[in-house]
Amino acid sequence: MIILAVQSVTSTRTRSQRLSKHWVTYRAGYIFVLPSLVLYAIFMIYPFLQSIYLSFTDWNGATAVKNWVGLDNYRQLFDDSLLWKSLWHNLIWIAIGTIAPLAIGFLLAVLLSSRPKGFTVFRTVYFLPQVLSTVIIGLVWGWIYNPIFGLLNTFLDSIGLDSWSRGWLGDTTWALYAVLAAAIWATIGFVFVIFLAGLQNVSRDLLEAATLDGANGWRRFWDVTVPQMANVITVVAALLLIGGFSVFDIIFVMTGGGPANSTEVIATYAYTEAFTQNHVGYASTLTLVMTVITLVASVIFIRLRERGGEE
Amino acid sequence: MAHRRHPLLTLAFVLLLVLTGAGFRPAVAQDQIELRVWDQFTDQAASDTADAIYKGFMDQNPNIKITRESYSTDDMRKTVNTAISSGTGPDVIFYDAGLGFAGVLAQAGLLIPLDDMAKQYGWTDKIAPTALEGTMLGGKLYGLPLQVDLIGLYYNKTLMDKEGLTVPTTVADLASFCTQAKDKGYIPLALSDNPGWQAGHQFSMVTNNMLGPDAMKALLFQNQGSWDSPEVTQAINAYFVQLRDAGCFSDDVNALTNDDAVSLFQAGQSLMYPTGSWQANSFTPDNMPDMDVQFMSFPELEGGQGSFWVSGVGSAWYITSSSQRQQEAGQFLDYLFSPESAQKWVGDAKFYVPMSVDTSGLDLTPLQTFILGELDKASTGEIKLGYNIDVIAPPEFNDTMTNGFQQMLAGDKTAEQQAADLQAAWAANWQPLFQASPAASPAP
Repeated sequence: MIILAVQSVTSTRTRSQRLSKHWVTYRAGYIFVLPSLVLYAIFMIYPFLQSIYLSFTDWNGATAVKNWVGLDNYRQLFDDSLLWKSLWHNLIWIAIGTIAPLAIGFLLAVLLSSRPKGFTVFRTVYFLPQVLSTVIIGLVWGWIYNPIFGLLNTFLDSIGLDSWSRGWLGDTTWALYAVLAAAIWATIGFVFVIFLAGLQNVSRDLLEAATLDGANGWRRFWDVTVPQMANVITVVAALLLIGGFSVFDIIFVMTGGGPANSTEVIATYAYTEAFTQNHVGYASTLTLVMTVITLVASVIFIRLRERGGEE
Repeated sequence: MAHRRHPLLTLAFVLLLVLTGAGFRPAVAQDQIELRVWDQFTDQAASDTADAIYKGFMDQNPNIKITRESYSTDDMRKTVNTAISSGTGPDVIFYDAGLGFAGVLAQAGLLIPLDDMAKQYGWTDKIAPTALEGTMLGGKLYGLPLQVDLIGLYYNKTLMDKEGLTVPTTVADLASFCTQAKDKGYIPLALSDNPGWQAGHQFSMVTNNMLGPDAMKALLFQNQGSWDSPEVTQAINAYFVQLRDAGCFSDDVNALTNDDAVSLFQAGQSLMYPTGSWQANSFTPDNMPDMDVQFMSFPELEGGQGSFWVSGVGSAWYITSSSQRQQEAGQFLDYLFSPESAQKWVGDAKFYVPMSVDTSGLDLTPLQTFILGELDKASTGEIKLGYNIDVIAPPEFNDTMTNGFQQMLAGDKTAEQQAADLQAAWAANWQPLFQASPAASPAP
């Protein structure tokens, strides 16, 4: 018994000494990290915990008392047709908004990876939308789609396709795709630059070996370049996927979720519920649903990619 | 000996400064009282007018310093609830009078009733009672309305005369007018419905004309009647089906913004423009040279009660319950409605204030003078005003109006379906507390 007690005291002392030594060694590091940690806790962790709490209340954003309603808000989700409509729009956004920038960005990066003439100009032009704010992009594309003076309708009219002209952002069938096109245009630059950087690391030796083995351009691209870019593709796709679930700003600027909810996504719906309808409790529930879906989808996607990579 | 600085202390101090915002507060002299005022005057003319009026108040009251913060309507809506409920908001706020906005704050006890101050300063004697109704909740006065507007139909008389078209007096006339105007290459009515609030005003016009202001008031304030009655359904059908099918609106009506509609009317591509008196500043001789623009109430409906202007209060002045300077805030509100301030609001900001104003010497267009005249007639009881629905109805009802009428304009919804949805939204969200005025108050 005495031996055990002595061992325990020695162990505690050793741990304490180790911690003390650790603190002395890394003190400066902790101090430097502290401001970010404090800000993160205040602006991310605390609001997140608050959202969880609010999702169990019927708070309207103004009253001092927040009535506890248990799981009522979560039950309401199942009967809320607008939520399912919004979720469907998110899925369309994710499908097209992930695949299109990936495909176009990759293609542009491959075309420019051999640094052809005019490389700098093309790279700048493709990347340009990234330096514009979403509000500016929304406004400019709003003008392009404008039914009175918009460039798109003018162009369609000029080539005899006037039957295709329409008020793009006011058409319940086309509005979502019109906003999506603007978002894809804005995203391609980012995808392009990441892929261009990734392509610099593709092994030249392997490409030359494939050429010597008689592989044509397509086989070299598909069997050599793409596998070596797998990790970059995964990261970019995951970012686009997360962006697709949480998309808000460009839709808010261009249509506000309308007309007749035809461009409503979960984030714009949650915003309307919180700030127009004063249903802050339910809006918190919607944002949590969005967080959970994003998290689950991202984890599944990354795991699948990792498994694919191992095989 | 050099002092060793302690990084943690410095960091804590900086964080404290950042978090409290202490480093950014404007300096106020020790013997001065600071009155924090939030308003929505982001437009240059209105902002300059507000600055001049606030300065006038400070000149009269050197012990009070006004700290002004101006927000766009959207930004204010996002900020105001949490700011006031956390005690970091203003003393005085100029905010949307609707039930979904100031109504929510008043119900939460974040705004103070102004009835006692109204007696003290005589506000109820000088501000039109119909306007004050729009800022009452449960029979108590919470706000002082600065702007009262009329909603009707602007028309370009010069172009209509040139085309041999007459001013329609009934909806059937209007449908016929639209057919003729469209044949001549015009978009007859410059209606826009992006983002969707515009259709709510159209609905207000036809419903008031169909039911009459008294029945409308009973429906809005006492829940007497219903939104899916045959009369309301007929009114919805008249505007959103008959006029749509008569070619009155652009095919892209849901894509057009209010700015687009103004451009169409200013450019002479449209002959009529259905909206409120707040837009009259856009039709001055500078903007539309050689064009005689006039303003009328919406034409009568068959089986309806007549043709009425629709009126409503957009935003009003409120005092927050967390304010430590409520007495000074009351003084400030009184100054905002003084004769000299009213002249500035009308003459410089081109607002239609709900009180008697000496307009002699003010730079007003004939259109603005006409609107002021109609409001005067309403205040003396010569004419009755209808009610603008969206500033009185609960937000859920407004949401149904917005989305439902966009669907109707797209041809995706019938008048019967929309009427049923409106009644369902009303029944689920109307509360007796929303009764904005005492039942006995006289009709406008």
